[in-house]
Amino acid sequence: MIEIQGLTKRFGRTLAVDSLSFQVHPGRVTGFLGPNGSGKSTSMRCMLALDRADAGTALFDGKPYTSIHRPLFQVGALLDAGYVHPGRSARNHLRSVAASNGIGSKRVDEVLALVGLTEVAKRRVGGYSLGMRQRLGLAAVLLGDPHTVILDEPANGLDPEGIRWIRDVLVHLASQGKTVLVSSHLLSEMAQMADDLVVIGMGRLIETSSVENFVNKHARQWVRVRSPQIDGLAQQLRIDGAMVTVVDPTAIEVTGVPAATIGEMAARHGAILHELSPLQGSLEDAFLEVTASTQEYRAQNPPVPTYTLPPNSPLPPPQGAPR
Amino acid sequence: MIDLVKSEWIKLHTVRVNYVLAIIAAAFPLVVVILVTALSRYPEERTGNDLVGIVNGTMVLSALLLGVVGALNLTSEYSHGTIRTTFAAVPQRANALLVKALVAVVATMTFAALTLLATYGIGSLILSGRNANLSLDGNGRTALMGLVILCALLSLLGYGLGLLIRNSAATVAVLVLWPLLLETIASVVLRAAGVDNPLPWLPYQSAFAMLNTDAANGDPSRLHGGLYLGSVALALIVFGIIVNERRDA
Repeated sequence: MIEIQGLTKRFGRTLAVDSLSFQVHPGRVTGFLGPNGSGKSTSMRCMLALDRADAGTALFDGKPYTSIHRPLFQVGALLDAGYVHPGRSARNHLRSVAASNGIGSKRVDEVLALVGLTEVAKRRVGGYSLGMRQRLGLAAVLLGDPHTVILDEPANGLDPEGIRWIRDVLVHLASQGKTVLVSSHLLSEMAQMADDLVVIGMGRLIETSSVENFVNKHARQWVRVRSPQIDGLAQQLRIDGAMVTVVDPTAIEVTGVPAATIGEMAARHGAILHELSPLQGSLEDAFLEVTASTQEYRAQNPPVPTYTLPPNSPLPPPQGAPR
Repeated sequence: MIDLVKSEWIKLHTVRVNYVLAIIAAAFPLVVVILVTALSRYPEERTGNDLVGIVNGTMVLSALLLGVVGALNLTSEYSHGTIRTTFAAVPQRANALLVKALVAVVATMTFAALTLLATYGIGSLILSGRNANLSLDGNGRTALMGLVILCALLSLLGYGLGLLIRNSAATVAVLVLWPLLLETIASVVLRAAGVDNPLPWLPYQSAFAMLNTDAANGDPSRLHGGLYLGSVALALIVFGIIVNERRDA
């Protein structure tokens, strides 16, 4: 179990991590989310005492990292796949890391096989792709078969097969009762593998909850309706207070009214329904909604073509409705 | 402790640049000594101490290169970010840094001693074949040992500078410029301040007294030179470790 309490880190005048507190529980994959510059990597470095925190504590099963003897058996961390000497072979890199904690070369060969790098283990790391370096970093994490795993953007540079592989590995580790904390910007991947979320912005904790609760709470929910009599149905829904957006001449999206109510209304007015689909926003939508006010670096949105109603349409799109 | 030594030894001997520097450090004095002894006029007048002078004179460059290896051994960890891997595996930073210095200095001394033996041995074989009488007195033997110690101290000096500067190019530049520029400037300043013989005040240059084959003519003494440079190197390392304990990796 990881317990973070009041973690604070300053770089000069910049408050990178601000009194951050959360817990990561064993047997679950916990996603660590936040916009660029939100303090995720700094927090992870502070947990491992690589960056010196100005205040607060990070405990692994009740112990600060610096007091753990042979920490590779307790905590495996991959913070940056680039932390390797390009002139050293993958095997020698792992041998040097393993030897520092009394782990032998046999285990090095085992983890190289686990991550699929046996064939290239004697090649210099400088010639490795980013994906291969990620695999090497994960091999280092697995050296001591630790109880706790911390990974910062482990899917960076991996191909789709590699992304699926790392997802399966992390889910497998959690299923063995290990504590897994992983940051990633691939929110679709996070949605598939994470059980819990810790969301931060501007160095502060925004929310911590299960993925399901987070999405239910923050992602928009709406109903897509398709009907040959869509105009009349839309007018009736607006009269009842629903937010209606026209998608095309035969379809609307309705916010604020459950699908069952829309179906009953259509039946009462004799409208034929071709589609009645309850829809929910993704983890990405929920994340963007929650972190909108904490985005430090934000680009302008490119112009997006939108559907324009015909001049004689009775239903102009309402302001602020989902597209 | 043994685990850390193993780890640092693996790091030291699995990087190609260290081999390149070591080969240059060994080849340069070997080639020069072979040429000098083979082409020397009046070889029968050469003594063992003369050969020590030739060997030590050429191995000074090797000592400097070994100082560079000592510096790169650490600074390359910072430049490639592997220091974070090191400290994540060994969060007791002082232990990791001290063992790294220890491995570097033992490897340097072993390498310097072997290179010295090979260089002196080949030089003496060539001169003996040319009817030289190579008797070696106590001063000569002490001067040879002094070279091994100088190599170790320069390695420690490079390591100490690396701990504070944490950048390969800057550390190597300071290490090389220390005797050529810093101590030259210091010498001029000391003379201007009324010090007749500034040499004993210059740690790098005074350490060269350890290579002196004429003990009676030594100012500063071998002991002074060795202790002074050693103290400066150790002070840099201790200060560097304290600073690294507090700084972000």
